[in-house]
Amino acid sequence: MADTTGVVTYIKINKQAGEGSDLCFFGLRPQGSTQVELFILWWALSSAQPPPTAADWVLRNVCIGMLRDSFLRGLPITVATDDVSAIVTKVQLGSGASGI
Amino acid sequence: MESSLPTGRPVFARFKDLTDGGAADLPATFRTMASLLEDAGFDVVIEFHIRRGKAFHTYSLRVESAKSSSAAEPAADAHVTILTAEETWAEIAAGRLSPLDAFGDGQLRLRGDLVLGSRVLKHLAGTPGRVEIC
Repeated sequence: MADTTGVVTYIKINKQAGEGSDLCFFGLRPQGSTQVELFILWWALSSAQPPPTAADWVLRNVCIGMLRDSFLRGLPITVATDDVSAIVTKVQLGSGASGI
Repeated sequence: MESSLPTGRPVFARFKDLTDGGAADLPATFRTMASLLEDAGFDVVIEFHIRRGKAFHTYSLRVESAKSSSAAEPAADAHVTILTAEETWAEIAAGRLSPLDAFGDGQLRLRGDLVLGSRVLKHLAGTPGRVEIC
């Protein structure tokens, strides 16, 4: 796993599921870097997986809320991914939760 | 409506074969990629972090004023940075896997100027398809 900490620079949500573009991407500028990295919060392929449940949407909204706070207030967030994957498995706003 | 795969995902462009029919080693794919970008009409510096086993190996290519070079070293002024596994890069370099499909499948990370990255994919495309995600 790889943790990346930085500030959100943009959030893009697209609901064109029929064109394979039901997705939420966001850009994160890691601390100490000049390059923005593109991360995937979700990218649903309409006919390849079941539609999101209400619980999925609650979780997505919580994560988007943290991304929005980072974007609007410049707060650092930490996202967890596999070391060669852009698909986010965990989002953390603020520090002090290591080991959880 | 653009064409799409049965999964619903759009068809993304794949690179031309950068492996000389499978004969090229990893550094040679970056040399080929750099030389093919010489006539692209724009300058670009790309850094690659390729995971082999548990370790990452860094390569870079540079195209400036229609001249290209590549090296097994980082590029501090890279416009685009790509992180992926060696086996994934082998598929991308052979033109069997679109870098955008690899990104969507969780096999590749992208940093930097993604507009420039799309221009690179467009110039090196060996198949029809989209060169940007959305």
